[in-house]
Amino acid sequence: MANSSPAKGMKEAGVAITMQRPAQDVFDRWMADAHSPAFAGQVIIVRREGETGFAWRATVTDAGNIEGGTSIASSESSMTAGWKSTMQAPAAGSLMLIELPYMRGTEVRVVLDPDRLKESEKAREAARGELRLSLLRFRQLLEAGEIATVRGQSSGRKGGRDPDGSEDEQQSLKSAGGRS
Amino acid sequence: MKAVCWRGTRDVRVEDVAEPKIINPRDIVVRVTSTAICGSDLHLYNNVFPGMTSGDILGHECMGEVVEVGPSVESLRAGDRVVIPCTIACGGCFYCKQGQYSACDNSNPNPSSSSQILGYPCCGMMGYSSVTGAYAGGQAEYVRVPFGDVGPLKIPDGIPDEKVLFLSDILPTGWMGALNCAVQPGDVVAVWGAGPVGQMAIRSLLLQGAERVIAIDRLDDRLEVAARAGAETFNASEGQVYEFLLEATGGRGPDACLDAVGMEADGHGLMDAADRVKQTLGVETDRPPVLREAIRCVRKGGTISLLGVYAGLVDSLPMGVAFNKGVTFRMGQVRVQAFHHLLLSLIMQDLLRPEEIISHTAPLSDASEMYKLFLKKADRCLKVVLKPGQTRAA
Repeated sequence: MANSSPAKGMKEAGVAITMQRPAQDVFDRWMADAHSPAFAGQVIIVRREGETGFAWRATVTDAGNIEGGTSIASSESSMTAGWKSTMQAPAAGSLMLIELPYMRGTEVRVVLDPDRLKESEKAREAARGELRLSLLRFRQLLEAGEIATVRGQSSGRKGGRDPDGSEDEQQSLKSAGGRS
Repeated sequence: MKAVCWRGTRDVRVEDVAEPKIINPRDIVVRVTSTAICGSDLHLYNNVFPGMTSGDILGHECMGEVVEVGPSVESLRAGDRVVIPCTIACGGCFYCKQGQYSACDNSNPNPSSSSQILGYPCCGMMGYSSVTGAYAGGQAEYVRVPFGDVGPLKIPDGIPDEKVLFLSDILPTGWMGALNCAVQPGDVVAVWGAGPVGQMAIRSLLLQGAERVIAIDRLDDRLEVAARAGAETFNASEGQVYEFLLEATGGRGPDACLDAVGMEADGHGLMDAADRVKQTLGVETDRPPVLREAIRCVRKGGTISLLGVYAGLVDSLPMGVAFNKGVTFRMGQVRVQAFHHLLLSLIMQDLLRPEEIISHTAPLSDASEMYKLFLKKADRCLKVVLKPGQTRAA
């Protein structure tokens, strides 16, 4: 028997994550210009441009940063939106929000345009992985109000502060010495 | 500031690092007044838990005084005394809303990393490897606490640190492990491991109404502490645990068995040798002789509660025995925030005295020696409390 669940097709090009908010909240936040930097460095940024368009930026493994304009491809209800790239990019796709019963949150399903993900299994997996990370961070922002980070924290790792070692060691040593 | 940094297998050092600062709006920064070494820190110390990097700051049991709060924190202010939960929780996700704080969806900055291992992102934890977010820990003079408006528990003035410090981890852990035994009137519960968490579980089980608690360990000094709390005791180096428990329960077996040892249990015989070889080869990450023994010992239809940390793969578990006996397994990382208000109340009523298990108090600068002592269980070492800012007595 064929797979009839909404997850059909997700394996190829999509990711689903449940967020503990009503669908309208998720949709509004998704579209909110002010919060789009939440996705910086990941697959998608959507930012409203006029009534029907979005600017987006995508970071895709092996493809670098890609920016472009997108127009709304479909908008059957306030809970469903799609986007379609007007440039060459693998980030075009659709967003579907399914509100669950008994206040169990909203399923957020993002499907990337399969036509743009035919390059290789590896590239497709990378795109899905990055998309999933984007959605996890989006969920952090939506549910917790901030994105968890350790960047800039105290550390004895080489570099002195954050686990990536990107903070200047001299700066960390300067501040070592006492909070009065 | 000074902090205890992990430098490799059985190598921790007190080093100068940068002081913490507010990074996210819900952060707080705390000046640490007391911090403890946990048995699960020894898994990091022994380098058997994945995800450690040289320089990581250890410590997930700490308390102190709030010195700075992020702009979104309204429940605390500078000067408040707080105990900091080992598990970090956002308060707003599906799991936090149900009180399952240790399953928080949003507190781990490396959700992909833990998803690869666990299937889902695990919660963030203070000072406990990149798997749980690579947060700097509290064995330091200062610590940054994420989601400071959800986790830290305000402590009224006049209560010494020693009475409440263990609300950060081992007391709620013991309490939750006891709750997972679902104690009914008349129940007999066997507890493997009379270390700090086992001691907390023993006290919790008796408070929750267990008729008898039987503590099992190989160290007499730890069993003495358990006996003083009201437990019966059995030294596992002096006989067969199964035979003893069978005899002690009239042939029925304990109603519940609680494993407060976890992934680095010492077994014996060929099976133990095989476990150690497999662990060395990496085909088994955890040594589960206690879990195997608990499955054998628990009565039919009984419950096994796992408190001791398990990190990965265990081998040769007698699942057929568990299945045919109809055993219920309950386990999980402690949901500190779900219990700490109740437990603080029990401490203030003098119904719980967790400070009884402190065997050593030392300046933070002595951390390296204290880790060695705790690992060897030398000098009757049961629980070490470190005091940042304190100097060694002459």
